[in-house]
Amino acid sequence: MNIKKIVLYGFGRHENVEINLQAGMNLLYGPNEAGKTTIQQAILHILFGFPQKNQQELRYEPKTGGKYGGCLYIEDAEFGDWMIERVRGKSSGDVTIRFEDGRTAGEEELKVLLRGYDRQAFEAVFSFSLFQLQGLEKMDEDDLSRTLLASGTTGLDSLWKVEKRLEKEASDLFKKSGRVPPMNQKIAEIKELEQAMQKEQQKLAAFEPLTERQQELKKQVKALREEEQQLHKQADEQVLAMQVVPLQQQERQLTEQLSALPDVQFPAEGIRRYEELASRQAELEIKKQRLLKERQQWQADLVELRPDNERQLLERWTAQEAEWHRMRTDTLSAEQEIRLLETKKLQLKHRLALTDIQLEAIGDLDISIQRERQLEPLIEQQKDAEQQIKALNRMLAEAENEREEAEQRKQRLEQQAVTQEEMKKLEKWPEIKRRLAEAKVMLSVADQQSTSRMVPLFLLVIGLMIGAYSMWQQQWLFVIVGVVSVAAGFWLWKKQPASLEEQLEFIRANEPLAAEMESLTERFEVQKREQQLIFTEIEKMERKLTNLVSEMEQLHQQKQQAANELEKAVQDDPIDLTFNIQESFRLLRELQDTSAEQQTWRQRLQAGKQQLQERIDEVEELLGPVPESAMYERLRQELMNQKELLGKYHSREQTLDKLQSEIQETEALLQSIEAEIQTLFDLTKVSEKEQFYTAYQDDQQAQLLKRQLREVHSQLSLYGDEPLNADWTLPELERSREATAERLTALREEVTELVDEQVKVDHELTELGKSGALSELQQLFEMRKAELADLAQQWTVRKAVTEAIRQTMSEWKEHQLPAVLKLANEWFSRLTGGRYRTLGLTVEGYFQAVTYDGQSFMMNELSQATKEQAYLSLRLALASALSDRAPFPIIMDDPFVHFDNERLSSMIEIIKALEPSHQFLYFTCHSDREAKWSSDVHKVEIGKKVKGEID
Amino acid sequence: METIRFLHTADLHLDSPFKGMTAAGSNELARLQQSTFAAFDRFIDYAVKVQPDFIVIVGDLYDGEDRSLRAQIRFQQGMQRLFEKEIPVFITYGNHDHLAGSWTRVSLPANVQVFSEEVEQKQLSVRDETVYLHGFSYPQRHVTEPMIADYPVASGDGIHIGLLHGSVAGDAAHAVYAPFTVSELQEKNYHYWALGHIHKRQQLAEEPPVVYPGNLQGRHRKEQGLKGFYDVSITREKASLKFVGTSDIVFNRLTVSCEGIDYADDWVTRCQEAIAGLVAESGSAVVELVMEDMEGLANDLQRASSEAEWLDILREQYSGIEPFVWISSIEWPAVSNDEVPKALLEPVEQTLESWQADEWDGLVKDIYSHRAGRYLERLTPNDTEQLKQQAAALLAAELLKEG
Repeated sequence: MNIKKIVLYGFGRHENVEINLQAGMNLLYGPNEAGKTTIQQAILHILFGFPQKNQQELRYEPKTGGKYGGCLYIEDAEFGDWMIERVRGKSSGDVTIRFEDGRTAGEEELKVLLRGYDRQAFEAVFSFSLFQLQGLEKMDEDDLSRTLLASGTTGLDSLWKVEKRLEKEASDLFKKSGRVPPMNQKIAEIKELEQAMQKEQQKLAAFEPLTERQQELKKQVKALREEEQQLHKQADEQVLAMQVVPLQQQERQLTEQLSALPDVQFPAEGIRRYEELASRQAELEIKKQRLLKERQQWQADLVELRPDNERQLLERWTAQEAEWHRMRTDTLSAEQEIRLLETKKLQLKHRLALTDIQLEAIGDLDISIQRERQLEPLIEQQKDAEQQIKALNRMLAEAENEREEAEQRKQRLEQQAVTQEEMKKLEKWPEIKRRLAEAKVMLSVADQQSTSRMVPLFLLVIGLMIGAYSMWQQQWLFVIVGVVSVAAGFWLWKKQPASLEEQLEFIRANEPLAAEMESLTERFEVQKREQQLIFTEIEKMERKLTNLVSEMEQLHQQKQQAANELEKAVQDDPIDLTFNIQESFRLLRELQDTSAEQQTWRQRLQAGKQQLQERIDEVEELLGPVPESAMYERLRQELMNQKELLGKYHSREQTLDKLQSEIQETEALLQSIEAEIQTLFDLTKVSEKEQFYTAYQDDQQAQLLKRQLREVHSQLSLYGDEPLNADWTLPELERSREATAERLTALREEVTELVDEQVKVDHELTELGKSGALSELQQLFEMRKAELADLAQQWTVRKAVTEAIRQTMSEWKEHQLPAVLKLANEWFSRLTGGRYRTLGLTVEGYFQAVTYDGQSFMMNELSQATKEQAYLSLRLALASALSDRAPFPIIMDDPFVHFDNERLSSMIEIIKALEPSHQFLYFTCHSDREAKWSSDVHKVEIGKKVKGEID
Repeated sequence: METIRFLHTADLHLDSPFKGMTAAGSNELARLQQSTFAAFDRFIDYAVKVQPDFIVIVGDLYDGEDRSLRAQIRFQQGMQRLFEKEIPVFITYGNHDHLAGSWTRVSLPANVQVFSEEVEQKQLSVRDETVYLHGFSYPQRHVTEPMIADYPVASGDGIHIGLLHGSVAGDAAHAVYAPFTVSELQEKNYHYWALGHIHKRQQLAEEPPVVYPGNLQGRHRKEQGLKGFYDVSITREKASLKFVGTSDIVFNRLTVSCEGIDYADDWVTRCQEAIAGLVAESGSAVVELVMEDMEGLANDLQRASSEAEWLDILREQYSGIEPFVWISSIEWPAVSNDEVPKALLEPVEQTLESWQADEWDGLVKDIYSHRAGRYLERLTPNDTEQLKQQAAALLAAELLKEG
């Protein structure tokens, strides 16, 4: 198995490095820090996995953080060429194996490819530095053997552990002289089962004797049963005899006794009948006495009862009780009413303020409605007249006032009349007024001239023009028009006044006087009219006053007349009715009514009192003096007493009747009973009671005897007609019977015993037949045996494994180790130039070197170089011995530094001898060492180019 | 030409204990023990129903030379039923119930005829035909000499039937009992050879029929499948055989494929399905399960429980139910030992492989020289081969545990 090529993607300082290698020796040269150790570690990491992060070993992850890992191209004689790539992934890295045929695989298959070697085991033999070589110092024989086994310490440890464990398990399963291990226990159990089976077998051996016994018992029981039957028959006969003999004797005795008794027919149930009759007779006798006595008593008992008419009276009064009470209430209420009316009368009297005499007279006063009507209009007339007078008086006063007012106004008007002066002025005024008006007209014409000067001019012009034109035109009409207008114009022009200023002056002087004169004229007119009006008014008032006075006089006359008439109407009355006539009439009527009512009540009271007194008198006549209030109580009590007494009287009469009839009945019964008793006596032919009883006893005796005899006969008939051996006496019979019974008892016991045994034997036989105990034991026995076999198998398997491991180990130790040692000796001797002869193991199992002289040295006693040579010899010898099973490349990190040239040459020779079976990767920093190797050695320089391909 | 009808059975082994039933409870054992009787009852029932002309029972009626009393009584009861139906029964005793054994005899009814320890001939008239029966009972446990020589050659008349309890000469698998060769049998010119002793049903020859009917009820894992007897109709010219099954409980080896199963629960279901199929076919059974295709499941099962626990779990499913099912064992496929370093395993395996019988005997001498040896079977080459495999498997497993 050779590494053809190493490719590192990123590992420590190496990035994208590819190193080609060849079979045989590969010399990898590089100065310090070139990364030799890194490459060596890379190979181990890729093959066996990156170290765990928490382990001491370096992981060589690139500091740059780039791709981590690499791959190896392997040439393998056994499995063909394969490539292993390990990159970052889980902590040991993700591995991919790729074979020539393109098949890929993982960790599982890698184990096989690495021949079960782990890193530790690999390093122990195939990869070493100077430092690691020294580890051999501590190795003893066992360690060496382990290494020899080429499985590394772990693997071998496992084997040993397994061996030890299984050995323990085996001895836990079974110990030759043990008791606790399961197999020993199982054996003990099986032995017990065997014994139990034997016992069971013995039990079953009882089957045949039991069968024989069963037969025998059957015979015995049969014989005994037959005898028992015989005895039973005998006993039956004896029992019969025992019963019949005494019966026969009894029969004889009874017949004798019966013949001694007289033969009289006693009536059926005679005694009972007689005794019944006699007791009834006595009873009746007593009853009769009792009844007679009772009648006497009743007769003695008399009742005091009033006669019927009185009782009826009482009843009637009692029935009239309600009436009586009503009458009493009536009198009381009448008295009450009278009192009430009296009070009312008094009230009325006061209201009318009457004297007692007047009161007396009032009773005859006519206060009928007719009279009231008669009086009423009279009073009314009087009233009306008075009212009219009042109204006229008022009207008179008013008229007086109005006249006064008119007088006053007349005076005022006279004061305001026009003066004399003013009257003169007024007389002059019309002249002035006429002159003034002329002046004004003149003035207004002057005004008109100034404006109308133009007008005549215009008219002149126009007229001229029209005339001219029409002349020219020859329009003659228009010539006329023109002439007219010229004329008008001229006229107008001529008309103008002469003294205008004079006129104006006049106007100015009389103008204010005009206004004053005007208003004075007006005032004078109004005053004249008003004076006229007032004079007519005063005249009217005077007339009205005169009318009213006459009317007044007429009314006074009327009033006087009405008063006279009224006076005449009431002159006979005792009181004055005219004042408030309606009320007086009402009160008087009420008074008269009250008196009348009072009279009526007095009469009723009188009548009621009379009736009450009559009733009391009647009652007292019957019951003696009695107070009025308690009278009815007495009456009721008396009536109740009477009724009670009447009831008593009736019941006594009835009782007496009943007693009479009962006495008669009893006497009749007594007679019939006496007759019956006599009949009984006659039947028995006796005359008195004692004789009758004697006859009865005789009869009873006879009856008894007859009955007994019948019984004996019937019993005897049960035993059939067989004649009995009459010679037997009872004692004889008794004796023989006892003997039979005893025998029977004994026999029965015997049979019971035998039957019991039979049952037992039968049961035992069935049980034995059914018994699965033996089979069960056998089954258990078989089962335990099978379990034992299982355990034995387990034990054997464990034993086999232990033994096989042990043998394998010892085979290694005994055969392979010496072979390795021999080779190592040979190489060691050669390396040391024959100075040392052997490299052996001490008795204690430690290595020692022996010189040619026979001197032996422990490892630590050797020189550094020699020690290294010893280790190298051993390692290479091991590798050589393992070349079949583990043809791995040998990786060395400058292990020859301490070698002198001679020994180095020898070393190279030895390595050359190993080259066919192993590839060598030799890392060194000593460039001069190259020279020592032959030219065909593949050389690789590391570190020149840190990055990229190196070749 | 009369056709004679008879029943041929052998090796009843009544009340025989069952071998190899480790871990079975008392209920299971009782049930198993009943099965030889149950099978026998079926045989008798059949006889009573079809009323054959006679019955031959060729040896080993009882399992032990001490002849279980219970078995004898059950047998007697069976014979009594046949007696009531007037069916003659011819019996030879074999190596298991040889005449030298000590037992309490239970008397058999008159229809039963037993052959003596010398080869003898018994004669029987069936309608117009005479039947001659030849046979012997084992006088003691071992009869190693070929008894066949003592059997007479058939005379010209009647139908001849040979009753022989023994094994074919040179059969290494069985111990030698009254050895014979088929041609020796054929030379006797009988019409039928009724053999006994071998529990596996087989017919050694057609002309005439040389027949091992097998036993009525399997009693351990090696006696697998349906067991029973032959109902034979025979004339002087030809014979026709009909096999009638009687097994109450059938021993079976059942292979269960666990392909596609990933979880332990499904495994239980798969096993139950397989067992249900088996029970539907042959009724009550003692099953030896063989697991296959465990790749997907191995880890899950191992994680969940030990193998012994899985057996218990499966057994619990069938406790106390009818039809009766007892799972005697589960055979797990060998663990692939890729993970175990060959470097370690191989040398040890080689050592194991190199051992001869002597070495094995040396290995187990501790127990065989002990009184335990009395209760253990001798190692056969077969056993050592098995032990070798188990040892290798154990080593691999143990190393795997070591990691």
